[in-house]
Amino acid sequence: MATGEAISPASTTPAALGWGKTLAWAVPMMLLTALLMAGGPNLPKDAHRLISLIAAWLFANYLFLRMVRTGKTDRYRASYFIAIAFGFCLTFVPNLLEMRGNMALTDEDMLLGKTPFCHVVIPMTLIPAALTRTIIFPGSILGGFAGIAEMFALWIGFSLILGRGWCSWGCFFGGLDEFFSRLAKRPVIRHIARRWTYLPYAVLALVVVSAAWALDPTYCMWLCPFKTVTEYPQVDSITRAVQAVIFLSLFAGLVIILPVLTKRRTQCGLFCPFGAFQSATSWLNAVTVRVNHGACKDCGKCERGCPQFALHSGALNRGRPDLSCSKCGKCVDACPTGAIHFQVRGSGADANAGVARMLFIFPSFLFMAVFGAGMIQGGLYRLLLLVTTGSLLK
Amino acid sequence: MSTVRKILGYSWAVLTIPLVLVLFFGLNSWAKLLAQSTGVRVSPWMTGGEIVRTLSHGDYETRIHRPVFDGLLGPRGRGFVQVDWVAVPPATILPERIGEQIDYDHDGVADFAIELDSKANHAALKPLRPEVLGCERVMLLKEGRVLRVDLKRKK
Amino acid sequence: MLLSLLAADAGTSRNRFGLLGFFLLGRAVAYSTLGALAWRFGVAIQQWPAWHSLVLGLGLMTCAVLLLWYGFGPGPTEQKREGRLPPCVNRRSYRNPGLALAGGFVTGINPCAPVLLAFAAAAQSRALIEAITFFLWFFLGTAVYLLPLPLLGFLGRWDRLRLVARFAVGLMGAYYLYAGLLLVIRGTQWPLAKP
Repeated sequence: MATGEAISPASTTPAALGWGKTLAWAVPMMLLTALLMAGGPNLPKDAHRLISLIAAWLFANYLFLRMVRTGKTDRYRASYFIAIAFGFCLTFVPNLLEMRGNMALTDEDMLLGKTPFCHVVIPMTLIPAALTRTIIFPGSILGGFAGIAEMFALWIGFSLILGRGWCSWGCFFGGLDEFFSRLAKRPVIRHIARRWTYLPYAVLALVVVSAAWALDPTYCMWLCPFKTVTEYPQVDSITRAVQAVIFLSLFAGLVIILPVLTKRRTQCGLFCPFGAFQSATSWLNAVTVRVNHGACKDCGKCERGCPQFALHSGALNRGRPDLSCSKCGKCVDACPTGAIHFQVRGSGADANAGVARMLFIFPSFLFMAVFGAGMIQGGLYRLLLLVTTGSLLK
Repeated sequence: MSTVRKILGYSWAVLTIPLVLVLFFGLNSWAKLLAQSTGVRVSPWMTGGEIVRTLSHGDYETRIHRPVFDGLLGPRGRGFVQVDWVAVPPATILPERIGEQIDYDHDGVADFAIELDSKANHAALKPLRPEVLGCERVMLLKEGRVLRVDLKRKK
Repeated sequence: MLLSLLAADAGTSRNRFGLLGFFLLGRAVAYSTLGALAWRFGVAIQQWPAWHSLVLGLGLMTCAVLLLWYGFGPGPTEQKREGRLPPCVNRRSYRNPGLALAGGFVTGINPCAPVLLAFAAAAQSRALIEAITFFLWFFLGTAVYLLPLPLLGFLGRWDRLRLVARFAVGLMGAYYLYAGLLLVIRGTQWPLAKP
């Protein structure tokens, strides 16, 4: 947009900003990400790690600059988000191979609390934690890689900042789903019955109740597809073999095949219990997505494009997406009239959508950039190792 | 009222920016605070429970944990007791065969007898009391072996 | 299973207590059957150790198929309404006493730990009537816990909650299918001929 001014959502799409305003947002982002990514004044001494850190910083800030300058959110967010997911896999798996020689969790890892804590377990741990003050996960409360208390503190923080937006601005698993959903040019399966969008809530209810009854993280044992790219208990019995078949099938189906065929995030939108759980935290957030029904011309672009199945005629009539909205910004970017926009809570439909957008994407991108920095750096480091030594492992 | 809501909304939106900084800079402190204020620990179903007795046998130790019957709302009728055999330095591995009678409740009467084959990772259990039901598979530690013996809770 | 059945159904408290009645009747029949089987098996079990795994496994798998059908099956024709979630369940179709009776029967015959323990205890009965009486006392003891459940039926008024409940039932069915299959495999591994 030529003027660089954010315009009322009733008539136009979110405005790109002029260079002045762009730099006013981008320079603080550069400084803050430099401070937080480096983790202090001492930079890594290892050349590979230093190069990875600088590359990750440049990548993050280039994307943010483009996001602000063009007024488009989704494509730049998705680039970093996908990079986090691949960075995570490239960091996590080689680390395991170096430590243990394989991806399988050993008895010792579980008995001695060396299992990294994953955010997906959180809903299952709450009832037992409340009633017994114990965490039903074979990890460590403090310390180690992904300690339980650290992950809980992070969860509280990102719930306040992002709510369900975690699914599009943080989750290192969601980036895989996002990647595969963007591979094909056109969807092969265009219609998925809306009833399936309620499956994650059923999965959530079942795993929460079963985990509380069994005092065991049942989702992790039986259903988590992402054990395929992280770690899993050793397959030494029929039960473990069946569990392996289940998680491999779910990964292949929900994370790879269906996202390619539907161009939607099927694991995140149709299965993940943590996403369903995290929907409840969205009311804590300052910025939401709203629909100006008067400006909407029913073109359907938002509904067809929404990766989380959050938009449909009912949601548009209501003026807001379903709870599964992860604030990825795709609908806001796609809407030709600016009917869909970010809105600060309490501000009303006539408020400045451009300001609301910036107030959302600045902290969200900062969170994503810093949270994902270690994973992207780690991934780049491993790729550099591969290029210079021929192996991903040290 | 709508002005108040607007101010609160925008204030909250702006506050999320320093919140990101506070979160990352203070993550370790927040974690410690959370852990200490809640007093949570890892479930004994995962860890095996606290070690209550250690029996020294020269180049290895037998560590007996407390029986675990912890349930959601009260003790369960069934649980287990975990027994670890760990090599003591300078020894790094266990003897190939270990035969022991274990008194897990320290009442002076042996509750079960174990024949452990640390090379084949196999244990033969002989219950000496009706509360002892059986055992699970032998679990591996770098310098030892762990066995969970299934128990019925004494009323 | 009963909880999901009641939550997934819409209707009045009277309907739901009626459903509970059929469910309990199914359970009572199942437990009486179990009592009879336990006595018979008590006699035969030493010569035919595989039978109990096979029968219980098949019972579980039957329960599982029922649950999967209920949870993920097509159901009655769904009406599409503009801008609204279509009703997922025809309000009358699942208020079926036969379904409640069958559900009660298969959950009664479901080999959860207490039932297996009761089964083992009853298998030692000398007389058939003793075994059946034992199981009917077991039924009375467990039935008490089910009585408040119809009051949760108000949850069934919300279409979305009913759909979530149906999916949860279907997912439980998948687990029971696996558990039943393991029991059947265990049962078929043993030679059917007398040792």
